[in-house]
Amino acid sequence: MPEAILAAKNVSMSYGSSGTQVRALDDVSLSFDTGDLTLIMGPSGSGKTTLLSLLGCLMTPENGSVFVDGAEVTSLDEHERTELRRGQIGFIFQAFRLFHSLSAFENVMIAAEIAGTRDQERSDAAHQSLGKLGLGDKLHLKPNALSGGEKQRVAIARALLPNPKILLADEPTAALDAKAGRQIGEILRDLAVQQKRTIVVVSHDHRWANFAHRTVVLEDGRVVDDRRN
Amino acid sequence: MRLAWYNIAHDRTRFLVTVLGITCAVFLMIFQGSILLGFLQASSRIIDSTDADLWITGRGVQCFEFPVSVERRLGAIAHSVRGVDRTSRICTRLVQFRKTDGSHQLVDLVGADTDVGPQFPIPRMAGDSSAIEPEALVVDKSNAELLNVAVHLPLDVEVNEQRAHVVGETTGFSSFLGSPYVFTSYADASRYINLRPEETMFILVRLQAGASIQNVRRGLQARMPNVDVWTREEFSRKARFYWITQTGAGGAILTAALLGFFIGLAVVSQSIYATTMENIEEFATLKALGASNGFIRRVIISQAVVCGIGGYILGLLITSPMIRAAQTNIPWVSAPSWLPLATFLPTLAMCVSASIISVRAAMAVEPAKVFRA
Repeated sequence: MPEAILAAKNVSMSYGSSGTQVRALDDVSLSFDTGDLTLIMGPSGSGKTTLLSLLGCLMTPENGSVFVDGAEVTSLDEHERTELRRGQIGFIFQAFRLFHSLSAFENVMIAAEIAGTRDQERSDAAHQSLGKLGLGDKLHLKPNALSGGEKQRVAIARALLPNPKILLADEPTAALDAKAGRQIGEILRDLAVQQKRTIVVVSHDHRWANFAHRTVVLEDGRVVDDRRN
Repeated sequence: MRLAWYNIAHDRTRFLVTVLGITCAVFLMIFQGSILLGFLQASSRIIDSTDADLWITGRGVQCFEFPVSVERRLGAIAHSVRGVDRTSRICTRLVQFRKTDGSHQLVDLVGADTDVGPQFPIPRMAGDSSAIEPEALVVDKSNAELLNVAVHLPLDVEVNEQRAHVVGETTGFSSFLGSPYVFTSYADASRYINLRPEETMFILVRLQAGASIQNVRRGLQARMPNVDVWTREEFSRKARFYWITQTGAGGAILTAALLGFFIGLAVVSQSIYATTMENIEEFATLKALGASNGFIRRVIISQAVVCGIGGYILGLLITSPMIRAAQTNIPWVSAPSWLPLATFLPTLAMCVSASIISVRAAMAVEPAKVFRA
């Protein structure tokens, strides 16, 4: 298990108080290899987002462990988990989560600002990344002037700026039309294959199976299917 | 902190509302501070304008305006104490001032010996500064209209139904009591207020060169156990303290000055908190992206400080003309140049304090919130 870049071992998670407790994840073990794009599917309430939160070190499991790059991270304190996220994990969200007051370029550079590494090198990297994603002429537009697909590409550029080994995406195409969704799928697939990043995508959308190397299906907090595509 | 700056630039309306709130607070702090400062200065102006080292007052006297009589012979006793160079007297009482048109005005008549201090207004003879003009009065310029003496001088008037004439004007002695100060010689004042020859009200003591003020004070107090002996600074402070804490006027002004700060605090807190809560998901995103609590704190506090500086500058711009306008009606309002500068740090402190609740809310947000669409 520890040799995988990202892994969850026997993780369990519940929400609510004792009377109304809901088991979100029940003894789930999964590992994710470098260069793989893994699709996690399942009905609403099956535990997909909880699993993504645990893998992203945004929460700690009640039971079990999470490993990032071979290191057990469950026992880290909040400050250490924050540092880990900053350097090793990129996030892509369904609702894009761009900063409405910042331009596309500044939205990408916020990652450098958070890391305290805002310099010319990062600025060039942000320009290059946005250019590669087809946004070279929209650097100075604010999110409300961008289409859904463009916003998601800005979010991808932001996630990539610290050069993380792991990208976690939560329903990244749910708010996009078919064409934009396909573009995002191709971009993430290329990032996995060409740049050897580990990408985990949570989605209801079966079309993601065309881009994913592997599909994991969750139901009632348990893994019910795990297959290579 | 680009994010802070961009957030402000993006939501200009909210920025303006916050800045206006701070502007009001800055205005209130400086304006009420000017009134408070002027009130404090005015309440001890008479004491401060003498050059006495020590003041001998009736036991329990709190301020100049409400004296009690002391024995006149205490002046001679004081003079015999080692280290005392000379003594002089001041008396004061509210008296009726009959204006030239026959109407009456209650005034605070102040009579002093000629040597109480060079800044002290005393009606001296023209061309001979050591000679006192008999039955002569000096009034503050700001009260000239009220006393009907704004035309050419001298003017014949009556004080407590006795003849007097206003011979001159002074400045800086505008009364905060509503009863103007009117100055005359000690001899005339004691006559106007029917002070008995064996009585006086305040005895002022100057020390010989090199004498220890505390030693002389102890010596005086030992010889005169039934009166109080204060240094000029102590009596001045005591008078200010009395007027600011023991009277409704002082309390109201002090409260208003403090209210300026707290109203500003409330307005800014509300505005910054609303901005933070509106953008709470952005703070969750920052946390998810790896922002430390320090980074989040800096974003919110930077926004508060930028708003504070904006509000401070605008506050200064509107306060100066307002104070000048107020001084035409309330001459004792005091706006020294350091007062606006002195409000800068409280303004920033107010803004930073106001952002604390917002900082706590932003730091408490769960980063996992970002996954909820």
